[in-house]
Amino acid sequence: MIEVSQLRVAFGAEENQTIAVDDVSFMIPEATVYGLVGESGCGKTTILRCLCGLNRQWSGAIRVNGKAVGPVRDLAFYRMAQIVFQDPYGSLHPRHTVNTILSEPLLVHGIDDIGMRVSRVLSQVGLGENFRFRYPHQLSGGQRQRVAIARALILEPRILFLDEPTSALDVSVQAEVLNLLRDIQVEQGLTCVLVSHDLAVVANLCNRLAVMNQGKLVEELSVADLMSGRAHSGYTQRLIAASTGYDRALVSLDSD
Amino acid sequence: MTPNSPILTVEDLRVGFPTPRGTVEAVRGISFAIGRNKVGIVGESGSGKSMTGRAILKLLPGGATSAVKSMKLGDTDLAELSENEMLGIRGKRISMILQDPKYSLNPVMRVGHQIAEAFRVHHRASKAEAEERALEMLAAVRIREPRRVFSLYPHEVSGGMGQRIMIAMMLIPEPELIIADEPTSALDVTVRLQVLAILDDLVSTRGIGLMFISHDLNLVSSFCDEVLIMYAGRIVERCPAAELHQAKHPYTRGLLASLPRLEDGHKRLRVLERDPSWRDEPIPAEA
Amino acid sequence: MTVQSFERSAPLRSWLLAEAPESGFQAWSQSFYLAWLRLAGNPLAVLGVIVLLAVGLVALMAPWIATHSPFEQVLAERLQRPSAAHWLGTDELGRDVFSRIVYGARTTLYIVGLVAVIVGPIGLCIGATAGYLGGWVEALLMRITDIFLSFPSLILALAFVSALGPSLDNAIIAIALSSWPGIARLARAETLTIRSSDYVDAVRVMGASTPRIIFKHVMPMCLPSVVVRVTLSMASVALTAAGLGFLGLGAQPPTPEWGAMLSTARQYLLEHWYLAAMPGLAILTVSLAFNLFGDGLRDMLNPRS
Repeated sequence: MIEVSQLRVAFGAEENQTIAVDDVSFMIPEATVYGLVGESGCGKTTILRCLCGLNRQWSGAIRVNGKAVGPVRDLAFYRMAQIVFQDPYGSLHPRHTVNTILSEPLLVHGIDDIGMRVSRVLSQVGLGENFRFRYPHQLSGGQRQRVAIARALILEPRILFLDEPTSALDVSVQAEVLNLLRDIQVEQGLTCVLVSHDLAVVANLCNRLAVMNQGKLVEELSVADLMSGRAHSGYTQRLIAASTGYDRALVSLDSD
Repeated sequence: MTPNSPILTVEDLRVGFPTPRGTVEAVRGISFAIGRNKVGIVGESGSGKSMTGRAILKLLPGGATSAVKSMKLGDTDLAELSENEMLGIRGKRISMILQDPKYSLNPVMRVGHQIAEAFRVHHRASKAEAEERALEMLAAVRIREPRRVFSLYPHEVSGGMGQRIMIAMMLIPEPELIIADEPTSALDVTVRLQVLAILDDLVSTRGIGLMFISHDLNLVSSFCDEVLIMYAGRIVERCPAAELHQAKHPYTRGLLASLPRLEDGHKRLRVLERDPSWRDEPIPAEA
Repeated sequence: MTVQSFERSAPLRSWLLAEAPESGFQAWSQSFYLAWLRLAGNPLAVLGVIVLLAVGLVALMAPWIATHSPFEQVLAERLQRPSAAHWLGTDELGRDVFSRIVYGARTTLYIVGLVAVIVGPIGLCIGATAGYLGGWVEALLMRITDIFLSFPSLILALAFVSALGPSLDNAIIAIALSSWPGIARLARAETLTIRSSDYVDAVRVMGASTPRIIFKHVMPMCLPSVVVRVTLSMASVALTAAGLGFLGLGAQPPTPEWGAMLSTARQYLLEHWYLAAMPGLAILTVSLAFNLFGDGLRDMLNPRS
């Protein structure tokens, strides 16, 4: 469904370039969830932004649904691929009601039956009608993230990009949102790309993942391999070890 | 003070905020003690954990009120101290490490000078002496080139290094207790463990008490010795970190069950059902 | 509405405070009501509002409030002190000062209102567009803004009015020309922060067109600051209008205008202080009221929750 080959993103002037993404290639089959894992600055979010059309300065090739796509996308692409952002407090327009926020994609694409579609997507994400005319500041973090998910789903896309969708949420709310995402993905056969720094979340939702470090793709592995610790690269092993919690014996303090 | 007596004891701490809809009680009567060990306070947003740390140092935001039956640092009763007297406590006997060094370090001052300043505020020392001590501390937090890092500005250091500098700054006056409020939440996973290891070593070799406030249950249970779980302003569970999986309170059990784990794979997560009785009902394990 | 009658209208109150609004209109009304409560909690701002409403009322009801015609000259009665017949005395042509002040309110409010209506939208559009698009569009628009900004407002107004001839409408255009750059710059600065937010990114990923993003998503966020700024600048617009009138370049005689009245009263200042003091006081009151209201508006529209 999604094919990326030799993607390269560089910022800055010629002499002093920062290479955010360095020759990354991978392939995502349809109806699977693919994780992009790494620490901050590894390029995972940059790749996501290139894929969804927000970042237009890249070189390489991206194919979505069999067709090559360039930096500028058209309405048909946006109908097919949507994104959920990390920060529930920033991704909803502060002065629009939930109804306006959810109607906006439909208005942009000229789809009618707005009322019915908004109701349907609200119940899909587990929010009742009484949330429809509230403003974002009247909602909790988890509720806002559900609205963000609803907004992504209302166009009935086939691809969903998820940028750390639960990292800004409380632990108890995270479980609800993860369950919701899993249910929707399975029900609608969505192809998802999940960016996360949390290996447990990746293990919970993804089928395969790519580990990134400083712009390079270190290794690709299946979640089964991840769970049994069968990673090839030392960096991946370190990430897995770090995700289990603190253990003084395992930390080597060669300093900074 | 004997090696085993608690460094900090708090009895019945309450913190409230005025809001247009009436007073909100952020902390509703908690009691605990910290000795020469690492005590973790875990809670979600709104549980009152951060306010607890600030209330001890009397650094609550304007308008907030706090009341406590007794709050003792060693033999000193913190509740009785005036603001002037608190100045001699903050930094000198109790230090606080905050979440993001980007915001807690002075951006226009070299980091070495900030550490030296932290020393000179509480000890009479010449500039040269203070700088020597600062360099020693930078080495103690395992920074490889202390002299080079001394002259850097905060924006020139990475997150992990910034947090080590913060630790150096907070440890240089040799406090008895450190309050760390989400000290590693802004850091990457691998860096996080290194910073915690440094903190761990320093705290154990110097016999300092550590109050570790966090939302990360996993991290706290693996790093700390004792865990206190806060919910709606009260401590609903307290147990040694190693026994956390035998927790009794339904909130703790629900929280533990709702965490995704690497080894569980695609398991459907158990969603925490909040019971309104948790807010006010007497806590079974409370002494 | 008194407090008691408001509480008696319980259905309205509960509609305004309901937790789950049932329509966009109800949601909007609720947020307006809460903002209004915030404003009402600021006594100085409320004072500003009351004064402005009073001035507006006076302007509206001028024919009924004024005791005489503002134009009628009775030379036999010139330069009379305030008395029962002429509440604020008469000016050098025997016209009733009180009536001229009352009718002068119309002129001042006309100028201020028209300038606000021109300057607000234009400044907002230019600033938001420049801020969002960046690149050469921003550079071009901002340089044009800089050019207008570099002229002192009164000088620009003078130059314009001298070129086109003194009249009230030309004065309004002149003042508007010198006021819009400030609004544009403000809107651009706000837009720079807004355009990198996630909610704008989200709309871009929906495939929304650039004009739609600017008008529906960026501008509503700039609106509070712009509204406050426009309100506060109304005070200086009133003063500039008075200044132009003072120089004879605004409203032309015999139209009553506070600045012009102030100007002609100069010659009689020593013996007939009220001829200058009254229009001066009127200008002061309106400016102050706009300032107080503008301050309150800032708190009302940007709650520190």
